[in-house]
Amino acid sequence: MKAPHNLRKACASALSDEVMCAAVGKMANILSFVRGAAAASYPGFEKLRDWGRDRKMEVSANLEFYARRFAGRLEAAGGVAHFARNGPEALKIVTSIAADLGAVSAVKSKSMTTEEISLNEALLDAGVAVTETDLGEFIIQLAGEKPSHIVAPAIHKNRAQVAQLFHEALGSEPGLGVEELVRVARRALRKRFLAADIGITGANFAVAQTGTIAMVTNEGNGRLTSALPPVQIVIVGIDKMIPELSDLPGFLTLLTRSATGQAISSYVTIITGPRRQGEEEGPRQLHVVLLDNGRTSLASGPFRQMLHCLHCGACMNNCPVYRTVGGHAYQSVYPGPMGDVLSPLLWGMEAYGDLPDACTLCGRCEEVCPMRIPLPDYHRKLREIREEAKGAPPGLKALAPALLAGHPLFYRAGLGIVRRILSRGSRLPSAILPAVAGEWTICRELPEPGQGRDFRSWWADRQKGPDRNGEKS
Amino acid sequence: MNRPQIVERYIRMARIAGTVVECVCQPDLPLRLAEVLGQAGEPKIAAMSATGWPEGFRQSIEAIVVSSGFEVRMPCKDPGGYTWDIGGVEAASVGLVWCEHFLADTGSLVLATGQGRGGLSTLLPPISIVLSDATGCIEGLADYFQQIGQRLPSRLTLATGPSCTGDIEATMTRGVHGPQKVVHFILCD
Ligand code: SF4
Repeated sequence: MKAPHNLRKACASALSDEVMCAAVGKMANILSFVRGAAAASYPGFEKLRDWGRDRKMEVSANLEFYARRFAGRLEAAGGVAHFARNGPEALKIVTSIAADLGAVSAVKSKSMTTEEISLNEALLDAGVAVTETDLGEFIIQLAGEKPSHIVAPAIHKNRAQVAQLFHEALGSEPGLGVEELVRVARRALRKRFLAADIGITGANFAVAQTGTIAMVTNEGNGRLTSALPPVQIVIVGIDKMIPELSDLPGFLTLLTRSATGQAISSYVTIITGPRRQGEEEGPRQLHVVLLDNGRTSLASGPFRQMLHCLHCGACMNNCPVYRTVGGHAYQSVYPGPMGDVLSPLLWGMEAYGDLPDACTLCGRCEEVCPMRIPLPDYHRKLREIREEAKGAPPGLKALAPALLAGHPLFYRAGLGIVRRILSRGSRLPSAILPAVAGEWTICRELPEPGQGRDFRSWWADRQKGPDRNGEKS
Repeated sequence: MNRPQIVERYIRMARIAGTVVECVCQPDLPLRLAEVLGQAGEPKIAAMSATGWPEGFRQSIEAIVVSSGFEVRMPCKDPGGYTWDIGGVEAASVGLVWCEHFLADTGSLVLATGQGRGGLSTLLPPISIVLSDATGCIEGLADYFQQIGQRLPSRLTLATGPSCTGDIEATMTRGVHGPQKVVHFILCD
């Protein structure tokens, strides 16, 4: 098992990388801006969000039914369906397909589900070299790093660093510009596409009615991965089901407008079965691994709507915490608000119990989430569950703020006491302050006490009429 | 929306996505096509899908391509089997296909596989030349699905603009995997 995630340490180390923080912040800013514009320019976007949530409610209430239906239709179209209860089962399925083929190389199109089960490592152990083909993923794979942003995984590296990396790993000229670097990657990756024994992809949607897989990319690597290699393996979480083909246009609109602000991505690949005789593209064999990995049990619990997530990234692009610390601090496949909730649910509270704290409860994520997932509420619930699980009665230190803030009478009384203590702050030994103000003071300055009044008494006076300074109400 | 309005909307959306769209009448097509082919780089090899063209149209397009100095390769070597001329398509500097339907709402080309055709010629070469009739323009994906019912091809690609990436310093760059340039000729009366 992994060592427990330590949010404070991880944030501190992420924040020390100023280049990364600035790059991720800038990217998130751009994406949240274009998402806003794309939502505003689509008439009925809010209604479409309601529709999307309702359709996914239907799916998460009948996960198994839709997964089985999908499998049946896929097989009727000539594909092979595999069910995997958990990560290890999925890995076994994939590695045995690879072994049967005698495969030595695979190309892969960015997929979070495969990262969730650590597929690359398992394939490598089985003697299959895996190449990530999304440019950003390819860069960080060469560098041996982790993604810092869900849409732009290598955004923390500048062109000089990428040029140096390509120079060392691919033998390109040093000091190339962006345009030339993209050409170098095209040439290097095209060779691997043509030579690969297996193409591995995820799926953005799986249409139960027709056994169809739909995936979106801007680079076209998803298209190449599913067009050239003789065998394609799709790893898809059963939460990716949508009931009917007629649901696909609406979901595509929600996904691409929320993710990158585009009316549609450059490529949407809609796959129904393997290549048929005489066709110009596609694999001879199409395997789809339907992964549960805790999803069925999520569907029957209080966090059910988490299964509706489209992995669009809008919540993180709009999250003040993510925009500040970037993806690395989460140390999880799933970062940002959706990751705060999903990581502890998938990998346990012991490993990721502190992630729900990476949230200010500002509510921006829920406002922009195309599926209207109640993310702030889920953060709160997870914190409650974590505290309850600690068992022993919580100490006064943990209880006091909750109690004080929880009841207006306590809050007012508490506020008075704190103000009085603070106004004598200069006489308090500084060592006592953290004990009084808790961990709040570790990374923040205490406000200067005793200047002006507290909000409540100011408000009460203000309600009485123009205040003494002549300010108008 | 009536047909000209739908086509107009398609053109607007496709141009936003970076597609070069041109409405041409049939008599002008040879000249315009030859011009675009003239701008394509070396080697002078063109990949052309074997089927999917309107009756007799493929031959006339092939004649223009050949007279522009190009050698024509067919991605699908054997329409009844599984053999490809991958090397041939990979070497091509342009790919030409007929596209039956295109979507106004998103500016997308609908590329469907079928006997003797598929996506390789619009995927591997750096330049895609796509030809359509104006009557093939429909509003959105929902309308397309309604037209085909559940008879889905094995691969259906919605291609909207050239292949692009912003993965290095968020600088938009074209042609990272697929075509760098997509030219769409719409035949109008
Ligand atoms: S939780 Fe919502 S906003 Fe966040 S990635 Fe998932 S669908 Fe997008």
